[in-house]
Amino acid sequence: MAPERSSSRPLNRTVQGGSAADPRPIEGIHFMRAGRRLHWSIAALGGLVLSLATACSSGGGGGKPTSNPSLDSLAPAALAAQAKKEGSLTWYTTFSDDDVQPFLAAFHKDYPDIKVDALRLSADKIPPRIITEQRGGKYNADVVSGDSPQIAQLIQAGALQPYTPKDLSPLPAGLDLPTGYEGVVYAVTTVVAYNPTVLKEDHLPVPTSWQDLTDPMWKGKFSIDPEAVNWYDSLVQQFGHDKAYELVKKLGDNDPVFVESHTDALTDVQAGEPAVAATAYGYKASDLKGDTPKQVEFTNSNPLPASLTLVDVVKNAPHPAAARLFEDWIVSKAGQQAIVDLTNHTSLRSDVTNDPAVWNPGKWTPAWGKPILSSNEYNSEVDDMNTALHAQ
Amino acid sequence: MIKLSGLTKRYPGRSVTHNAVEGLDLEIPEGKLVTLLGPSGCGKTTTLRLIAGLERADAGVIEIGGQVMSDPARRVFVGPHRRPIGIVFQSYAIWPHMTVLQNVAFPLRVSRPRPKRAALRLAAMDALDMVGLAELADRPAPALSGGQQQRVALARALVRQPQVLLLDEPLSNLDKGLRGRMRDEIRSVQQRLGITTVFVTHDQDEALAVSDDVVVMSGGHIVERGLPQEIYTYPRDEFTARFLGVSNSLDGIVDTVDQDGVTVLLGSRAMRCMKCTDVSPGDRVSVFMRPESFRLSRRQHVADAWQGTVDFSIYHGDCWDYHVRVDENVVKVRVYKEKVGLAYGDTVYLEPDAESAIVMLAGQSARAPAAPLSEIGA
Amino acid sequence: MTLTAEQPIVRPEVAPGGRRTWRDFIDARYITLAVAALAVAYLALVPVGTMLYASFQSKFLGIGSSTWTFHNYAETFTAPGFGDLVRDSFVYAGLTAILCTTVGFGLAWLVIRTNTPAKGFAQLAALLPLIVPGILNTVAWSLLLSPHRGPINVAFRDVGLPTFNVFSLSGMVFVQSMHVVPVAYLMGVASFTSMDASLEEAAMASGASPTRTFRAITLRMARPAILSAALLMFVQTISTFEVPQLIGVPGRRYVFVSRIYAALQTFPPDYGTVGVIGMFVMVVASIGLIVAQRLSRSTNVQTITGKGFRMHPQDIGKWRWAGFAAFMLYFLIAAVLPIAMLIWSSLLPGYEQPSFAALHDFTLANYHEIAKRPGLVNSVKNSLITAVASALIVTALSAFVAYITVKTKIVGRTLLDGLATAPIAVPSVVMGVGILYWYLAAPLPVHLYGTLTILIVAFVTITLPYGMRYLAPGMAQIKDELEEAATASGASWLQAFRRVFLPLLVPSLLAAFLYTMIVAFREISAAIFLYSSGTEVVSVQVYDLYTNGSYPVVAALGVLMVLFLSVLAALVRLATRKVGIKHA
Repeated sequence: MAPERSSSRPLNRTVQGGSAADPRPIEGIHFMRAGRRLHWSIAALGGLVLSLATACSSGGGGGKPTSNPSLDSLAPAALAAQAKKEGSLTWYTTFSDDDVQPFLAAFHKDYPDIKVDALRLSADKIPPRIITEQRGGKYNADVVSGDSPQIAQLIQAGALQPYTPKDLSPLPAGLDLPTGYEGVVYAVTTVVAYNPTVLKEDHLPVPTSWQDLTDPMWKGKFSIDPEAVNWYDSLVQQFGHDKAYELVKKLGDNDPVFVESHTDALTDVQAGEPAVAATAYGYKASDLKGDTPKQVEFTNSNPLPASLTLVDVVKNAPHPAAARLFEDWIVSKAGQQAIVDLTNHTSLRSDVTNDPAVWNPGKWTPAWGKPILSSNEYNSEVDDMNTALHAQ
Repeated sequence: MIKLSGLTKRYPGRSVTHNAVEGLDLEIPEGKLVTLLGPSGCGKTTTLRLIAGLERADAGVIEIGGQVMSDPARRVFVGPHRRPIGIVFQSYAIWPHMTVLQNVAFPLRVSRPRPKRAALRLAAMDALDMVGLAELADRPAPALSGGQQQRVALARALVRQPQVLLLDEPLSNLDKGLRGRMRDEIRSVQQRLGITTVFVTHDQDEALAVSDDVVVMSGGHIVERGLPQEIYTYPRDEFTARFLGVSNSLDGIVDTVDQDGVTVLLGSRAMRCMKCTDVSPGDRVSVFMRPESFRLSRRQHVADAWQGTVDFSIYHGDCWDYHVRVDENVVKVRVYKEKVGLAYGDTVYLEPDAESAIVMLAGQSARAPAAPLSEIGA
Repeated sequence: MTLTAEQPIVRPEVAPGGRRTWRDFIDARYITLAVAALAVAYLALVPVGTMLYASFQSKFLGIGSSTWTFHNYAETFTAPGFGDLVRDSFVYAGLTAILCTTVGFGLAWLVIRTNTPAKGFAQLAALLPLIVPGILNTVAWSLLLSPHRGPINVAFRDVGLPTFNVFSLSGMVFVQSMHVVPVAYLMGVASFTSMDASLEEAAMASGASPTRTFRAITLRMARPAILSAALLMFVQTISTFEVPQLIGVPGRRYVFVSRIYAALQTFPPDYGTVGVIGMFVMVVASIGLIVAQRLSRSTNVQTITGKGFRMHPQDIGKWRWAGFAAFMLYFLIAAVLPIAMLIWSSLLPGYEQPSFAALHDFTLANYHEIAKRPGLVNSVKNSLITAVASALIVTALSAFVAYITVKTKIVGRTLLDGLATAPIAVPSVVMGVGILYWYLAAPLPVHLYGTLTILIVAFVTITLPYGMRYLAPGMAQIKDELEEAATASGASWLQAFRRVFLPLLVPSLLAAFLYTMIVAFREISAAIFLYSSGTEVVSVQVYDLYTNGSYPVVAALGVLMVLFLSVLAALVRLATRKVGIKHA
């Protein structure tokens, strides 16, 4: 079983403002003088301690995210040599726990001298962690990979540095990524998954689209992840806001069961209740279908909602060469092949063969979500979903 | 020999006199057992702890065997582990994580030079033998009874043959029967070894039984000092008198003084008293009488017997206690021989024993000069 | 610091030195004391101080210069949903406190005051759930009571009973209550043990019926203890992470702790709100603890040892079997079901309903899987390192502080004692965030962020009060006379310390060490904010794997954790039993 991290969570909407999209560099923090009388004695002592921090500027980095021409222009062999000198790198990733090690093992086959510390985080936790660390002047991460909305946040916050990986394969038509942030790890598709045995027992038809699930006979009999914003966004891009909202609202009116993540949804399908998952990931459904064909089956709609997982080098990465090398490797044929083989995810490289049940652009046209959503767009889509689904 | 001069220890913040010691002068002769007797808080335990070095004096000199142990004025202080002492605590302070033998051997194990293992065991076993516990040597210490722990503590205190043995209320945690036995045992061991011993207690019977000398203390001072029998029969201080159970105190005025004693007027009655301090006719005095110093009878045998009525009676098995109302005073009387008790309201006659009546000037303070009576009397 | 010295550091009667080096000796001790005091003050005050500071800053860890402001407070308190947050938090913690105190004191009453049979088992049943870490208990229950797949709900549905959705406020209350009952039970035992049975007998002899006696005497007597226990349970509940995050968030019921976590996980992170809510929880917790302490001081729980009392258990007739059944039920719910669920899941390749058919699929693959994942192995290593290191530091530090507060009369010792026990009023979440903020923002020469050291700092601070709890009484029961007897026997201070004091303290030291190790090993509420790549600890991994859906591996890891903690707990019991001998 290779569950994926839950992909998308709502961003905070109460504190959202210009700053999320604020591309200004992060400056030092200034502790003001704590020369103020506090009544509480312990607080006074605490203040005393804090006054140590007077006018501290812990150097939150500063400087616009700039590329590093000297490293960027290095030939692969020279970069590898430099990376070897650095010896290690830290990778913040949404890869699931059991995928990380095999994937890194594949990397080590090519680069045995570079140790990778992977910190696995769910997608929504990546931006706040990196921002918090950077504001504290602690540059821990070298490379980050995660769902496109979260990477977009980091790009907009200036927390990443631009680097265009070598051996990049061209993006499919209709997709666009900003220069310097083109690294794609894989694509995910959202499908309707179901338990064929249970449907048969209950004399229910096979659902082939989300429209089907708005029928009253499915009332209360399917699950939905109210935070699957990437799915909703691709619907928006495909049908326009109003139609997409209407569809989701109809689904919401049909009393769906809310699940925490797409992984949960598929486990439910396996167990038979609810027997249908409206927001399952294609790669995972296909994977589970292989293990338990009687319990899991899925339908790809056409067009097929799809979204990206991106990889980038983090600003002030302590191991800049190793970071670049790692990103290069991830998007390379070797890296992409490892991803497809180990995780059943979908590569966008033309020279890598994907699971044909999951990805066949000739058969199911991908309906891409917008990779770089502004935080306003993102937050309003989260709001839309929650309202439409009566999730809050 | 122990010599204390001007020994002072104060506890700032506490009530002034509690546990404090104020300018104490005391000499304890070689080989004698001297008891410090007094109520709790009188400073007796503090004195003992000062001798042991467990507390530091504020002023005054402590000498043991002619060596100065503590003299704050000259910044001399010998730690307790360097003093030639052995101590038995009220709680015995037997170390629960050691066996009986280990407890007793401990003082030798930490002594310099450290004796050889065999010699150490031999000495410890000797000490245990002395208190009759040799067969329990390998028991874990907490498994012992109170009396046995007490013996272990004694053996431990004596094992390194100290010059001075310090006993801090050693019997107060034992039950009544055992207490008498242990008391005798302590005394016999002490006399056998001829070791200078300080014995702290609040129990007058204990003090009288074991001591060569009794030192009565109150409020950090020595009230008086004397042979047990002197202290008992002729306390020269009101405090001592009361503390030793002389519970009748009658106010009077000295009428005549002669060679044998004095005549005191108690209201309208005259009374002969043989023991008195310096008094002259006309002095206001208190006459102290023990409850057992009266002869009580239902009939009047002598003319000057005091007539009274029984107010209260209580039977103790070996004696009766009565409260007899004589005029306005209530006199406490203890009678041993009587078989059938008197009842409330019975009329009785009391004949005070002139030999045991003690006359003191009224309001005589508890700070009477503490001339060592024993030396005079001896 | 305010530790001034007007008196010698050590009462001379405790440790008389009396040689030439006496003066130097004092000075060296002053220095050590000052260092310990500073360390304790640093540990206790820095996280709270940082949190407080952050809550009053316009842009803590922000862009541009930050100023002092009440804005965060105004904004947080007036934000829509803050009322709900407060209400849900108080309802959650309040109902949990009521439920677990009722159950805990009920069980304690049955064991101590009635003739309920099989008391040995009953005691074990009431205490065993202590071993299961909160995170595992929560995971187990979210599996057991999962609305659709949970075996209990499946069983309910099969027999036509309504199902229970654990992802709700009542689910939170239930899971948290079952977890903290043992603590309430222990307080109940203390309270009922100290109560003289003759007081109840006197009431009955005065003509009161057993029920009336129970209401008018037993309950009245235990009331301060009950209230105090309930407050402590309230504080503990309002400060811990597991249940609000794993049960509450899926059910969309946010309480303070999960709101703090969420505010830090949003983008951009809302440090001000975190600070404000953190301070709010801390004030609530402090008030609760202060009141609880007042209450327990007013009872005589501390002063009366059970010894002098006659403990005639009350004959409750046939009801004693009902009492026994109550124990069985609690044991089943709080220990058997969660542990069985963990064992069951750990032996299956993927989740399956309990059935005989599933037995064919039994496998140890999940246990092998643990060994195969370097991340997991590393987390176990990290947990061991941090737990052992914290336990060592806490034991040493609390021994030192306890020595000063119990055995000396130094001015300022009360303050030191207060500082060392104060962290108990600081919710672990606040501790975690406060430490995170401090080591991110303060201009320190050493960077602790992302190291195991920062976790150790957190664990030490959190467990310091527990260390004190074992060592202060442990030292108090070593009577001064035991040491004095040694010095009077010719032992130097060092010899007396080494041969008498230390051996007698060893059981307490051992108990403190093992207990703080258990607490540190289970800790997640602070660790969740402080771990980084390579410094994950087991509890964090369990949470991580769970949210990732890797239930079988979580279960296998959980089973191993429970086994390990059981061994530690058994050792604690052994150690404390040895301490018990000393009383005799």
